[in-house]
Amino acid sequence: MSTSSGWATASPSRSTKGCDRCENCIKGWYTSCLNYGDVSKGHRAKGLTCDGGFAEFAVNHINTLYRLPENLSFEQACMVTTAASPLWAIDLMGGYVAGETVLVQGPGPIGLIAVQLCKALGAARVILTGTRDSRLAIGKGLGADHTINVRNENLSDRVREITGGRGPTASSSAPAARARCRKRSRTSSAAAASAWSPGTRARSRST
Amino acid sequence: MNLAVRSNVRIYAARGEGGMNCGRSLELMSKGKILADPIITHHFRLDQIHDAFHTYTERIGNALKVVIHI
Repeated sequence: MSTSSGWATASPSRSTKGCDRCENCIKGWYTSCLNYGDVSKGHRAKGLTCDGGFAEFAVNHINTLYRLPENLSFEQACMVTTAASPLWAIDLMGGYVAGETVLVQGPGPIGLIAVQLCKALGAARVILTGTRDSRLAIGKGLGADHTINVRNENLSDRVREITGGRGPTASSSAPAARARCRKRSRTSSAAAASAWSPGTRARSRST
Repeated sequence: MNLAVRSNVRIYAARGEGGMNCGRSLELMSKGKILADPIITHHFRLDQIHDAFHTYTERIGNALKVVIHI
């Protein structure tokens, strides 16, 4: 992680700076920069299109820097991009989680942070699904109200049972799970995919 | 998809850490609303980076988040 006078990069290995000139950047959607990958237009994706953070010193555009709160270690702060991705998904979904029943699919780092975010934002219930009991147990410890191991249990049946037959009001899919939300979702519910699944290729576009 | 349309389901795809959400996340972490420690399962030095990637890709010891210390 690169540091300078108490400033930490958004991520040790990946933080995105948009070109700051395309339509998406101007809207604040710099992670979907239309000049993605075009270094000559000012786009930088640390560790992807330019050098990353596995170094003693690294050069970062000031727009990608955040001040590290005094009570956080660099080690804890390296999770910030992992936390910001599901938070961005919640943001795009409308940001209003209070009172909702949220189905989080996939107990990887993003899913486990999504659980905590939904609880922090006042979700009525968070249901976490996965295939590894060890990860589901961590999710329970981090606030998941219900966990479902989809290898042993029927996901649709369990979600219907937990929600009294109505389904969740919001779903969030982390990379460990595919977005197969519809059959379990309530009418007028929202579903967000906050990361890529293995095998899905990111498409870069430079113009 | 027909079912999704009939049910008025809204589907969103969120790429990365947009909307200045890194700053918001740091605030939530600083206030103890998001805990990173239970998710960080393994630590390696930079000169052990190959072991670190192997540990992560093979999920050795239930690896969840593997941190490399510079």
